[in-house]
Amino acid sequence: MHERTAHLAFLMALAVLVAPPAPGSVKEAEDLEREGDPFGARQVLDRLAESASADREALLARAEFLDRYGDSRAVPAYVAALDAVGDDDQIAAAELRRHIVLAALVHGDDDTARSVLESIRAAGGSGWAGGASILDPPASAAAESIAVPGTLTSFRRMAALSTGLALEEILPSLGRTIFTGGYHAARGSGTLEPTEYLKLLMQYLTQARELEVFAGSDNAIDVPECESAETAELLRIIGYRLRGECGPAAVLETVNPSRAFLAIDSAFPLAELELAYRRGESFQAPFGPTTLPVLFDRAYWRGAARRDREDFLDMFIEDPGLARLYVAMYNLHQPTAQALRAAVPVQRLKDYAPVIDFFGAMFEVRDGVAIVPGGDRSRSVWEKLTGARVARGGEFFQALVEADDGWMAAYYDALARIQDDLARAYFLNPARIERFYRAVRGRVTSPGPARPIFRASADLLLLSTRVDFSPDGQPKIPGGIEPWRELFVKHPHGKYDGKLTASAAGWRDPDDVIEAMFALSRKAIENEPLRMFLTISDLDRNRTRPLSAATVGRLIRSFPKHGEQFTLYNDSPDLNEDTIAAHLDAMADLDKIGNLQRRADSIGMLQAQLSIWQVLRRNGSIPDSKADSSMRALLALSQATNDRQDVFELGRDGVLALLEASGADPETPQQALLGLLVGEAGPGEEETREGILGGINQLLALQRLVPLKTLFDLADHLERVSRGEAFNVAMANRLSANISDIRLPRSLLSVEESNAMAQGRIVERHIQRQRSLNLRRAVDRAQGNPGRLLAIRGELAPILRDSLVGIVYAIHAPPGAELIRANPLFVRSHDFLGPENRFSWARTRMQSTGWPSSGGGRLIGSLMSLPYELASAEQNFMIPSERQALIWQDLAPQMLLGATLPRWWGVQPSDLHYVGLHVRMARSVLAESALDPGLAVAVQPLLRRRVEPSRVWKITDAFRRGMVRQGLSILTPAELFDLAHRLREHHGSRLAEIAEPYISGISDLVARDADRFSEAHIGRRFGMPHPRLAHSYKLEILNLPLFPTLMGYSSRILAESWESNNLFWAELSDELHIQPARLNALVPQWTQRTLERIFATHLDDWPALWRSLRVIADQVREEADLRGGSEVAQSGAGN
Amino acid sequence: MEPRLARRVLPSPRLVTAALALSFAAIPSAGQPQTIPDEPAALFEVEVDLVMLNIAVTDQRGRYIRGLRPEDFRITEDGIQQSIASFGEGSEAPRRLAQTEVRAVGVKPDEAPELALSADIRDQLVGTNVFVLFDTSNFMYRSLVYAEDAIADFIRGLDQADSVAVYSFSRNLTRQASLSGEHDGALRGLRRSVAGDETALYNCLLLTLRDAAKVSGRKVIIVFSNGPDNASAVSPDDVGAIAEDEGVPIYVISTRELNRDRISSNAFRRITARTGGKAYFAKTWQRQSEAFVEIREELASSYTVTYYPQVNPNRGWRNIQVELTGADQQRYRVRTRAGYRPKL
Repeated sequence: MHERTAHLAFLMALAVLVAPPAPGSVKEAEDLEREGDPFGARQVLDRLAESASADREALLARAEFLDRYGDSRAVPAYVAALDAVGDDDQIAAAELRRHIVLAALVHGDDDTARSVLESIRAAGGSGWAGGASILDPPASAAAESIAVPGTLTSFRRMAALSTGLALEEILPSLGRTIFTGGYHAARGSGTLEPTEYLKLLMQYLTQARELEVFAGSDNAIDVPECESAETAELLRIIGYRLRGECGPAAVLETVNPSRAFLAIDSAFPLAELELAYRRGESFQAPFGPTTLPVLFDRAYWRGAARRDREDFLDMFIEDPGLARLYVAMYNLHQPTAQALRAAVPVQRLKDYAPVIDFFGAMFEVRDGVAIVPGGDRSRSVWEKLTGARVARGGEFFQALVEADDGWMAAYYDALARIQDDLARAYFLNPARIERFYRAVRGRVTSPGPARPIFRASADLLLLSTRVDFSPDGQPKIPGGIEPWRELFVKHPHGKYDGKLTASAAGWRDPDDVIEAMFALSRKAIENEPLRMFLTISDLDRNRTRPLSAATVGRLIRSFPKHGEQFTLYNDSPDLNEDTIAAHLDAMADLDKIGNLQRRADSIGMLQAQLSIWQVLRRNGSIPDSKADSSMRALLALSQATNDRQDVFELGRDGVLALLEASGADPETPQQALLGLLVGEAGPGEEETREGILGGINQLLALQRLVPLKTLFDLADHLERVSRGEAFNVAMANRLSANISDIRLPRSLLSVEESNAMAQGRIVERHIQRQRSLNLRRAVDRAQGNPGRLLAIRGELAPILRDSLVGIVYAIHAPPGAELIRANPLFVRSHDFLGPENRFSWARTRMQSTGWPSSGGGRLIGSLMSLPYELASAEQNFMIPSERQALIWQDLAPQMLLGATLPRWWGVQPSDLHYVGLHVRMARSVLAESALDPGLAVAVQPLLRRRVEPSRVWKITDAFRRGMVRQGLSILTPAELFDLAHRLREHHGSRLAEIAEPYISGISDLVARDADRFSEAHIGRRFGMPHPRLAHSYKLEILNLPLFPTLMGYSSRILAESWESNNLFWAELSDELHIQPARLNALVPQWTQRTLERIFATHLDDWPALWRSLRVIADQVREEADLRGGSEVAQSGAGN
Repeated sequence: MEPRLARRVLPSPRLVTAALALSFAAIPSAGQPQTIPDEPAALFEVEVDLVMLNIAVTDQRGRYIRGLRPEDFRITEDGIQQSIASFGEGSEAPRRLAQTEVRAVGVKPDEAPELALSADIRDQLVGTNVFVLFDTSNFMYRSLVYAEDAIADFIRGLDQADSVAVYSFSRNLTRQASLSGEHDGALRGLRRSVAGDETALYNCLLLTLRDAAKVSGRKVIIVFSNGPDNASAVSPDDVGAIAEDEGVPIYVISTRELNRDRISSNAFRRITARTGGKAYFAKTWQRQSEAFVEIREELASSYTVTYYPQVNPNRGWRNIQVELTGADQQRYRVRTRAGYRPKL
């Protein structure tokens, strides 16, 4: 194949050399593409292909171009090129056929793939032994099935199951819903009782069975006419009656509310029935049982049932333990499930279903042998820990799940997910496996991590994933051992853990600290040192000079109160340690301000300025050389502890320091700041940037915030008034024009509501003070006293605070920004102190929602996690496009964050192409591995490094059944992107054979500018923020495995480990030749549409997110087709 | 506590998991935004559009008074008398008043009258755009089927000229049937509603308002809910303020007794009164049906009046007053909205 590829390349090169570069040549297309105009290049190639003189080189160039850009028209383009080549060149023809097959499989054009494979086979072609699965997909093994009464639509609705589920996924999804939401413990007795959800489902099944009888053997509800016995019976079953005569006056109304509720809730076509009666027409509706496949066979599950029932579904929903075992076994790597089934009686397995369900994803039995973390080297230690032989896979995993109430399985799961080579070498060392497990296990193992409704192993997973390593393979302990020893030995508030306190004095090496962290990882509470360790490790990770022991010690001591603010240092990893110390001092100083109003103003103003500083550091507006000085200038605000006037003055100095550090114009401070925050646009990007700025300015206006320049001019004027200048009333009026329209919610409320109101008094006073500000009167009262005139400027401090806080809100506003638009007091209501004045440095959180008398939700706490909380609040205003679906809380905010934080200025089409080429290359190579068993052997180990065995098995099973596109869709864009890099790393030399035309495209890009396409640069352009996983809002691609939902985090860690969105949008934009700057507007829109389109069944249902992304991409493609290509390139799709 | 992903009662993790109105229509006009230069004074831009009022007049016994003429009304905005541009009764097409004097901010005098009464706009003013917002949260389970029946009756009885949209809500909003003159489609959408969980009434009312604001012509929102809201992030008064500005009267039919939840009842009354709508507290389904009948009668009996605001330097809240001029008519009650804020 390599020879054929080279031959094609030679033909291409020859064509370029021989043909004179004329308008409309392949050369012109190549030049246009290189200059960043792929759309222009495609137009040239399209014209060439359509011209009468289209030669095979032009056709080939177009086909390869379309293939490189992921355009499904590559398939017919390759076919056209093949027609042009004909039989003249057998080598080139064979290579083209190969391209056609692969492109067709990737794009789901199985007929073309099959047809070309047939022709290859007919021509005596060799290779691709796996091609038989495409040509003759093996018949599915006759799986047993069960019948569910009624239509699938109705059953899904009543069971709250996603419409996107495949038939085989229905029972497992139902099973999960049953054990998570089908039962609750009865008061007093503690016995399980069905919830309202399950009661309704059971009642529905009864009604559906009645309707099935009514429908008869035809499986159709048939009512020939209104006045009939059928009408009477049907209406009785569904709980309605006819009001009025049959005919135009006929109306259906409820007679039996319970039955009627089931009918409408299950989507019985009531409106259609009524219409038929009114029109005098007959009514027909299909209504027959739905057949669902069953894993293994019915008899197997009956063996585990609490009570044998004739109907499988009844048995299933009545037994949450059985439902959970079903889910657990379905989600296992299927050969492993079979091994367990063979080794362990089903009743016994049922006892451990929660452990298998939570921690079974990494179990793998291959040829009867358990594949354990650490491989052969660690085999003996696993055998020692479990007491079972690895060679007997089923028994080994039985022992694993039965050990220590699930802790050993949780530990196994955490270790099996480690991907980093250094981490694997360290954690999978046999001695450490045992040592650290002993630490995790402790003396008492109950309660196990599978007991709660979510996995209680979150910290265990985070620890094994996020420890940083030196190149020599040693774990990095920030600041060395000493500060951590001191933490345990001299803990100011007693002991974290008596045993660790005793052992800490004897710590000698990093292993001792890591062991202590493992010991803490199983604690749900009192594990603060572990959270400190992970947070400070993330601070230290990217620093060129590691943090000193003294600074780490200081950070440890500050963590309980100020730890949330440490994220700030991550956007400037080379911040001087003195600056960090100054920041810690500043926070402590501000906490000491006795006057609560002044404390709130100072803290709010400093946090707003630091948030702005953080963004300016992240986007490079403040250079490294000014990072420390600019931050120190802001921290001077903490010295304004006694004087309100100083708060204003130092706040203004801070704004000027930010502008100075960024080299911006101080004359128009607000517009200059906003311009910096939005980012620098390149040529042709100005219009998009203006649109974004316009949106931000509108939000500031809606909040009635006073522009910075108005405030600064007024302050200067007051200073001149203190020196004798006449007071300028017009200037004061300009200020009051903004503020006078502000109304406190309390003024609208009844006494009853006011009494119940949750609005904080400090916040209310803050707003009231601004409303009552009358500068003219204040000037009059000063009676010309210069000191008193100057002091008036202090009244501007709360206004300046709000203006700065408002800027931070506006730049982080999610799409829609309904809360900012709807509540004109939203920014001013930010409570920087919180209940009992304890929340100044805590994470941002929403308060007062769901309380009509509260005056609306407002944010309290610091601004550090404001972007996330704003996104979190905004999800309430999304409208699910799928009936019955709800917005996925805890996942949606992270997705919004990943869409609004990145700015796409300066991103080149070649950057998008780089991503697109990688993802497409991975798909193509995987598709070929479905045909070529030898290639599969080479690719699968790379896949296993990132993807759980259960999913790898699903992919290979889909391939085996000839469903290549379906198999490919199991992998996320981030996994494909990662796989492509691993392919380049491990099989670089072979890619020329198997990965054209993608690898040539990648090589060309890298040859032009290797630094541009470095991992770090790509991460900054297409990565996501990871505020929980990495304690940072900077964009990066961590390449972590997909995390499950975890106790204490719900879907949040899953969402952060889902790094696919921006890679996916990049690939889509590359395909549609969308100008990258347009993505500033398009990505938030697309993301919102994606979130609104998700219909997930449970909190681990990330495939629903992936399905939604693909649906939106298809919609964008359709919109692009409707608009015509050029408009897409110029104005973007999806507007 | 965790979220759920589909509307259905699950115990874990979270559960497991007339006078009528006055409208400020968003009919795009030739109104030019007033732009104030750069930073110091450049606080807001103000858009001035055609203002549409829906006015209902009742006698002392609450009966609707019909047959009034344009000259029977006197309209002022911040005390400045306004000239009526068009006038209509019920769902009839409004007619242009020839003597309209146009001195509206940003509207060219020679263009505005034509624009106001162009065929397109006249079509938009025929009939009412009715947005039904239906509470399907778990507070409504017992009465859901009866509520659906009552809403279905209401839709069936609407004037053919009226368009109707059916939305439902619990924690999130669902557009069951988009705004359309095809009432059977609305009934189909209504009958596809799914029971849900939490009640984010004001969030979803805001979203309904946003949709209504995009539609030209006369529009109302009818909320069918028993409250209390337990999930909204916006307050009823913020939503009410937006409804005022957009000129969308809100009607609420609450299925709870007035005294069961006084805070929600107060919020319902306030939000409906300030937008020119009305709150009904109808515990039984018979009373609910009666409330719908009354709303339908209001829609058929109100007057639609438009005007272009005269020059007014006020960028904030503008008071509107509508009075009847005839001496005999002084005893009638005019129900209308108090005013609006120009768009920024």
